[in-house]
This record gives sequence, structure tokens and C-alpha cells, in this order.
Amino acid sequence: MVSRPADDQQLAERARRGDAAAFEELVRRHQPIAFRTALVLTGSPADAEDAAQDGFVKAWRALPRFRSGAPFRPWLLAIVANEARTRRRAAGRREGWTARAAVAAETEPAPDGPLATVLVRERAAELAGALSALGERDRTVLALRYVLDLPEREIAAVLGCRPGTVKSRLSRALDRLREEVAA
Amino acid sequence: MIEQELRALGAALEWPQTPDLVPAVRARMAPAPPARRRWRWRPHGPLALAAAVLLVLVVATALVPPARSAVLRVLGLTGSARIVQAPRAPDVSRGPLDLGRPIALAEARRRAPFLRLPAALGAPAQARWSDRLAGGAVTLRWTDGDALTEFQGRGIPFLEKFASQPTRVRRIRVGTAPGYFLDGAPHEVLVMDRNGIPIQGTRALVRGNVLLWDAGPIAYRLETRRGLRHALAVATSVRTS
Repeated sequence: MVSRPADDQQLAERARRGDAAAFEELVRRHQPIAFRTALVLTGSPADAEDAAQDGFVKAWRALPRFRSGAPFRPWLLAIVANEARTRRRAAGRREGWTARAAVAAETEPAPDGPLATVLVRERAAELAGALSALGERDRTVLALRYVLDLPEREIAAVLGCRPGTVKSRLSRALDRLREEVAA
Repeated sequence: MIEQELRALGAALEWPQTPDLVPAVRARMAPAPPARRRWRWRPHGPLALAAAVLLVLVVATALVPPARSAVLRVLGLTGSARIVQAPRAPDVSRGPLDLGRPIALAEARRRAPFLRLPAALGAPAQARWSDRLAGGAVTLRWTDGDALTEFQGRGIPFLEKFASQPTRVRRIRVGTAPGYFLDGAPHEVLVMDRNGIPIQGTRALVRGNVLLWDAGPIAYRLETRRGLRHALAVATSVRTS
């Protein structure tokens, strides 16, 4: 008999009954995506860490209100995103993740040699430039979908909107990005 | 496809390393998610967050069996207090506990809406405010040496007390609230940051007796030169004012 790791729902159910170790496993499992989601929303690693940490603590306290059997990750990301937005507002306007994208585009070497590096850098820099020309709403939804690879349902949780809205926002953001790249 | 290029750009991003949040989150978790209590959590500024701390009360005297494994562990205070046998006597050269800076009582009430005054003691001679604890802590002092510290216990990751055998640790109740009375020896208070790392210079000696109790989301710590009867009289007189 092979013992398989408990899935999120089992862990969340155990945590809901007060099992701290089960919740810690959930933290371990989801801290990378929680941190990066918060980073996309705040643009600051320090704020992202605080938001993720507070998000987990709030999630633990809110577990009694967590609907049994519901997927854990979208619920968690919604809480973390809320914390991140609060911090973003408190910090005032700040460059988000696209500034980092631009830096990476300038510094990241491609694995295929110098020429490929130059080409990749130029294209990445172009793309990063186009992204920074977009509005924040567009950038955020694109980052959540294509950089963090979140499914639409989780993007909806993060943005606090319906999955259908995510679809149309993504589509519009991609259109605008194409226009910027072509310009 | 621009979507694929976006994915490639995302993969090339220099993400900051994800910090390990488990220790910090664990330290802030009560042993069970409170089912019906509403937690009044307010986000703090980054500085206040960075300064979120927990208190470790160290009660120690000589003649102590030097094993932390010989644990006198009593759960119940603030949901997660532990009383642990201390390995050694307190360092009597330590300074007094930093209770924060003096503020006006009205200002203390404003900053800490949870603040309650013990009717048995009358008006305090001084109020102090410390933001080392998440949510802040108020300490009220009276001229006869009594001091009452109040803080939002749910914001405290946990309270760990190291008690030696000669130190009496009595489990008591303040009304219906669980608590402990510690007497018979000075004890040390150690302030740690939210990751459980002791902050340099925060270890302090407390010479008085201490009554700790937890009433709902608020934790109380009464320090007094007098005995249990007096401490209980003060504790039971804490009320909304």
C-alpha cells in the first residue's frame, strides 16, 4: 500500500478541526504562489511577504467559515490578495511587477549563447516595455494568467470578480498588449 | 503567440526567493481556529508588523532540574500558553521590563479600545504604551507597585513560561477566565520577534508576583508585590470603564 500525501481538501478539513500541523502543510504547499500573487499586486517583496503571512494567519482564523469541500487555494488567494491590496493602498502608487520584468529582460542571459541572448533580451525588453505602457488593471490580469499561470477561477478569486469577467478582461488586455507591441 | 511570449518572460523573471512563512505563521496561530470569536485584526504598517513580538515569561530560581524536557506544560492561557521548567536561575543583573513609553490614559484608551481598568485599584498613576506586541500593549501602574498589562491575546503568537520547581505556579480562575498565579521567585521576561528570535537586550527581570489570565481575546498580566488574594481582588474588578 502506498501512502499518498493528503490533498488540499483533506488538509483543510483537518485544519478546520484544529489540526495545526495540517494547516502548516498547507502553508508550506502554497506559500510560493501566495507570495508571488502578493508580489504581483504590491510590487514589493517586503509587502508581499507581510501580505502572504497575514493572509495565512487570517485564513487559519477564518477556517471555521471555510466551506467544507470547497477548493482551498482560491479561497486562500482571495484572502492574500485582500491583504496585498491593503498594503498597496497604504504604500501609495508604486511600480508593480513590470519594473522587475524590465530588469530581468535586461539581465537574464538566454541559455543558447550570446546571439540568442541578445535576441531574447531585445524581445523581452520590448514586451516589458509594452506591458509597462498598459494600465495596471491590464498588467495585473496578464501577470496572474500568464506569469503566475493561475486558472481563471483563481484569478477571479484574486480580483474579486466573476470568472466570466476575467475572460473578457484578459481578452481586452491581450488586445491592448498586441497594439502596444505593434506600435 | 504573445501569450507564449508572456509566459517565457514570466519564466525569465528574477523572482525574489519565497520566504519560508511557516515559522512566522505557526507562531501566530492559536492552537485551534476560534470558531465564533471575531478577530479585530487591523493591518499595521510595515514597521509595526516587523516589530510584532511575542513574550516569553521565564520563571526561574536555583535548584532547577536542568531539563526542559521535564516540562510542566499547562495549556489554557491565551489558548496556547505553556509553562515549562526552566533550566537555570534568572540573571539578577538584568534590568526591568521595558513596558513602553508613558502616555496619557486617554491616549491609551484611544490606542487600545480593549483597555479595561480594575475598579479595586482606582486611577492609575501612569499608563504606558508599547507597540512591540501586535495590536499594542498598555501597562497601567499604581503607586503601591501594582502594574497591569493588557494586550490582545489573539495577536500574541504564544506565551511560554519557564517555571522552576520552587516557583509556585497555581492554576486559578478569574471569574470564568483561566489563569495562573506565579509567586515565590523572580522571573524573567524575554521579548522575541515574530520569528521567535530573541531581541537583543529585551530580557528583563521581574521581581513581583504575577497573575496571568485570559478573558476572551484580551490577555492580562498583573504584577504585584502582594499575594494571590490581592491579585484576584484586582483581577475580578477589571471591568469596562
